[in-house]
Amino acid sequence: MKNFTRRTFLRSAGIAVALPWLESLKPAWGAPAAEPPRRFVGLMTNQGIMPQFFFPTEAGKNYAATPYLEILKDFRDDMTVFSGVSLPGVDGGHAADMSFLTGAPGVGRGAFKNTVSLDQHAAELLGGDTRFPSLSLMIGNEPFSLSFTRNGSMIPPERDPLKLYQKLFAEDTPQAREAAKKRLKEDRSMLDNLSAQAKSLEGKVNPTDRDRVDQYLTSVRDLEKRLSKAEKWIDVPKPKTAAKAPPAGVIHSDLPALGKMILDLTRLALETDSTRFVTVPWQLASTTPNTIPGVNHNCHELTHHGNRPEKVSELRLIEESIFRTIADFLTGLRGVREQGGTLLSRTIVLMGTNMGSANAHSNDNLPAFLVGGGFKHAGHLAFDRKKNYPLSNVYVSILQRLGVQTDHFSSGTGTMRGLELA
Amino acid sequence: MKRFLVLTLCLLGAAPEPQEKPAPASAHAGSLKQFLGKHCMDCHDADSKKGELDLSALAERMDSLDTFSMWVKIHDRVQGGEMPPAKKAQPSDGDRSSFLKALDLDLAAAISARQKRDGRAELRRLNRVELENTLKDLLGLPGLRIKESLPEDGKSHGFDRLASALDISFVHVDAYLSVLDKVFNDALCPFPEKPPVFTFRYKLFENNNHEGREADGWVGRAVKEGLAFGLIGMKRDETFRMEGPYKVIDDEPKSTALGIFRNEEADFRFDLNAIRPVVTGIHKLRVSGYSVAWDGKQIVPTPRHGAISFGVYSRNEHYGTVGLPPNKAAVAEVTAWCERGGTGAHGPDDHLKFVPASVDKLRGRLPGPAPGLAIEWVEIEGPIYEEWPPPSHRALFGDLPVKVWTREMGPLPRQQEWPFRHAGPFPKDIYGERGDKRPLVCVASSNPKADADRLLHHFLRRAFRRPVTDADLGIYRTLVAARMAKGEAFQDAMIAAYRMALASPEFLLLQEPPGRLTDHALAQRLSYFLWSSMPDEALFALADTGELGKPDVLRAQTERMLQDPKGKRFVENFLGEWLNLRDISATQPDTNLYPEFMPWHGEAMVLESQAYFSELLKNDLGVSRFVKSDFAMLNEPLAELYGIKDVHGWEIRKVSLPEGHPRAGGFLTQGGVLKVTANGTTTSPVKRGAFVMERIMGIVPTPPPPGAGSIEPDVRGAVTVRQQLDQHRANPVCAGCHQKMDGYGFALESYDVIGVFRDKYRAMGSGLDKIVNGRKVGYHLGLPVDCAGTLPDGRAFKDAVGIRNLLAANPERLAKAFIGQLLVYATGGELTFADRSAVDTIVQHASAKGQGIRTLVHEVIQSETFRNK
Repeated sequence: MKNFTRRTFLRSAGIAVALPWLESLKPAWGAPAAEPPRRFVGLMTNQGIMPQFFFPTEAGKNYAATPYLEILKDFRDDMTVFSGVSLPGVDGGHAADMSFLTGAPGVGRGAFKNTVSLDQHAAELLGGDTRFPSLSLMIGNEPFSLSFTRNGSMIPPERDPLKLYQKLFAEDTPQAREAAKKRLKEDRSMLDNLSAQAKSLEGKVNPTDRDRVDQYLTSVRDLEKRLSKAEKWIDVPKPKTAAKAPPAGVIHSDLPALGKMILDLTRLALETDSTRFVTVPWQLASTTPNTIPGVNHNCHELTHHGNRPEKVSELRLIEESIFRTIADFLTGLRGVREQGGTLLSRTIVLMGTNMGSANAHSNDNLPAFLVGGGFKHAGHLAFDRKKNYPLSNVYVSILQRLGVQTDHFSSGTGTMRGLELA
Repeated sequence: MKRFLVLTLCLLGAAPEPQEKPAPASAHAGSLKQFLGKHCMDCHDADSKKGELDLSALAERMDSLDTFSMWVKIHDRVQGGEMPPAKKAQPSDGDRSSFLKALDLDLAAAISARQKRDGRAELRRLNRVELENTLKDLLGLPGLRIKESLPEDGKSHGFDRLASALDISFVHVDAYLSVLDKVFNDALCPFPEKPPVFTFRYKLFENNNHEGREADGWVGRAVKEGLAFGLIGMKRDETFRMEGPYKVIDDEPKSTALGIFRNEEADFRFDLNAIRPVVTGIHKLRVSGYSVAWDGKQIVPTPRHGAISFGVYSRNEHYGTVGLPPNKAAVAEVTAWCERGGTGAHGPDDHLKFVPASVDKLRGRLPGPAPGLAIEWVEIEGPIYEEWPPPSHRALFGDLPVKVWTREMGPLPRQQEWPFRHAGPFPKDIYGERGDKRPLVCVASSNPKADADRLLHHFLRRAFRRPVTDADLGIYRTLVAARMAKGEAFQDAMIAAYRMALASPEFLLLQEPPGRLTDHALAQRLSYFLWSSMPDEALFALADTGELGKPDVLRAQTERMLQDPKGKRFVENFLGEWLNLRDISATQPDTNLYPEFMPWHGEAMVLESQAYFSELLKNDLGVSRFVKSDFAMLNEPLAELYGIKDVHGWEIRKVSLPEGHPRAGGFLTQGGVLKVTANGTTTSPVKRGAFVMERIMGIVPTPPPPGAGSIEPDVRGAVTVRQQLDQHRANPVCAGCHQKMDGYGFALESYDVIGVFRDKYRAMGSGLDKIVNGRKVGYHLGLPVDCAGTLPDGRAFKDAVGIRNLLAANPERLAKAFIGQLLVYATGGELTFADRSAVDTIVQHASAKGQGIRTLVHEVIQSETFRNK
């Protein structure tokens, strides 16, 4: 840690945030000259992005900005826009949102089974050093998360900014900490006991059914591991922040305000190294974001615009607002200095959607782009719009960039063509 | 044909164990090989792989269920005459039938060997509906609501009852544990004596908050926006006004009711800030009111009934909807389990609200004629307990008394936690805001060891739904003893044991040993089928004595269970999955295109289909009623929507219909089915066709190939979905499947996304001079609907009436499909090839008895398929 003291760090960060990743670095990394960790933020909107306002015409770095990309113009050199990409075998219209980070095929089919999402996979391998291995958040009305466990269960999202703030920064009372410890201990001993019961049951059932009992057993053990990790953090003071707590009582339909609160907290969580993996979908289905001037209809209804100009322009207002929220988030990440770079240079932000055209409920030609995080950005990577290139390959690129030695994830079988690590 | 085909059996995911002999080769491998080589390999070999099918790569051994189902597919294509395709040389009838016969035998042998060893149904966990019901019944907590706190369940083969849809992860176990904390808190008995019943009547328009100085905020807002005002009977009260945002001023003559109208931008739900249950339990919620109309200048009589719903909507709790008559007040009542609480503890949104369900979608400030509701007062009465200590205490502690705690009784056990409740205007919260003025209480046991043994035995038997073993008892007895030795109160130690039991695999997993079900396993299967919950004492007793398995006893129990109030869970849950009625609110009809649609219609549509199915079940009416009927089950809002006169009030009742009436098509012409198969803006014959094909006809459609593309709906009126689809069908790749399903969908094109009959499509844009629900409609009539089509077998129909006659003429097909759905739902096992003959047998048995729905349910329960794992 030469040329660098905590004080100068704090000053350069511009706000009184203490205990960033440096603090946790002591036991975990030990050695000097350690690099700041790499992080991943998965964003998506589950109502499509209107392609005509998103995709550039020209391939390469010198594309003419489209209306939505114009909003992100400050990040042009730090981002790569994809076209002609989709997730192989992922269909089902709206329902495909569950597969956005898992790539699990066949959502629209009868016997669909989801699988592990990119962030959870990364958190399993790399998420051991922070208070929260990962955070699953959302913006919108009805609970929805991009994060799924290895056997395909959705990890419930935190969607209340105040609760998230408290989770990240509010210190529990000593009594509450004691009670929590006692509770964790009790639960762990109970889980031990349940493991034993499941094991004895395993011996009694026939082979096909053993799998299911084993799934129960694994779940109990996973939970036990999580509880024991959580236990270690009870007495570690939470980071301090100068940021004020968000107000109580969220208005879920106030997308711009809610989006800002959730993404500000996402930035603070990364900055204080409370976590390194975050997912934040916009779940817009039944939301009427009427704080955006000119919007009076619910998002889902608007996506069925049937190409009526007035509906299209109303929907465009919502989508532009989302892009502005993302631009603000990226600006925030760039504003945090971190060991010669910025938080953005160590954070990979992926944004995309599950439907190429919500009007048709089609799941090909997905609008998507990648920002930040140590890539040689390539402007606009244009793939075949008739025969799509797997978006899941960018998941492999992301994993490699995060430090996972792998050449596949989900349906991805290699890194994304044309996107090199920097 | 490069390889030798061996039809054998293997388990999904389980490698054959070495000591087992390799499965015998197919008895007919030679003849199968010959047939495939002669008729199929030209197109389906490794080089051509038409339709992605490479028969040479089809496993030599059937190493997975996938391979097995591939063989079933081959069987069905050959049997249906689809393969080899018509333009290729055809096998002789003799060749075809001997191939099928051989394959039949091999497939049946393979699957029956598998079933003998492992059973049809796989071990699965309770889904969240079943878990909630089981906890309700096990703990005597009729109002328990935990479903929403648990992860959503998956679906497989159309139902949330198959192992493959019911994964378990740490997220589940974590959620179970936190749910159980709430459950046990609810189950504790907070007082030695029954609490008094509190009654409070609240006039919405009076100042009730802040010591009578203010009215609820929404009243002020609504009055300010011109969406609410005081009424004296059927006249507007001119002296009624707001002073500032909260204070109501009402000079003589005083208002008798608050008239409520609203527009689509206004908040839908109205707080009942003043109404806050003091003690959790059953409450009566009453409302006195009537429906009115506003003509733009004054209140005018209306012919229409109104409706009002109650619930805590921030927690997704809907307590019920009741009707209010036109023009003259009447009292209506909803009975609901209400939790103590109110504003404060759970955030600003967490209290009882009501929704004037019949009032909606007014644009602007009361323009023309508009429906409204006049509310005189709302009242809450409760908690109503028939016995004390409450049933939940008895479930956990039997006859042990609850006493005021004293030091001599040992350590103080955990007390029931109460949510914060604002003192508010309700006069007598005698327990304090946090309930801290309650006495400290304790379950008194004079012989904890003996009591623990007895109570654990009783509890575990019910929770595990089988006789308790010494080993079971040992685990839990040890836990109680260890905790008490550490100084914990008896009551707390017992709760800890119960909590572990309810997180254990014995409780959460539905276990059935392979082979014929034991009487206890049968009781369990029966109760989860008909009650979505655990068996009751009567079933336990019959299982204990080994009587339950006797056909006549089983029949009598089935009757008893269907007649029991819990029997309605079968109707709700089976229809919720079978007809997708759980998705009723998944889409919001476009307000411009479908201004008739009101929030109450969705709920009424579900009630309609449930009532219809109940009516068929009650009277043992035949399966042809699924598609053709001479009656419908309607209430006023639905009748109005469907254009049927003289049905008044919110209650659903039987309405006779003439032959050929647009609504006389059974489930196919019910709003619920038509709504869940559309997207809120447009209908898709493909989606509806696939639904009818799978759910009603029992044929699972093949999913579209990758890259099949989809149709961009166009609501500008330039082109119909049918014209677009005809283009799609011109592609031979698409035609094969679409020919099988689109016909059903075309017939239903006569019904729009909210189930209203149409002969022209509605297209966006003004043009039609018509006011609906107080606003000018935002559509004009576009292209005509063409609903003629052909069934897969080539029979043609002209319209929705035509198709219903064709479908109803083949009740056997409908019965088979229905039995298939029942079997999947009842057993949690997917329908396989081997079940086909079982289904045939059930149909045969039922045919002799008239093939009514109730008969079919009985025959399913009596069948070997139901009675074996």
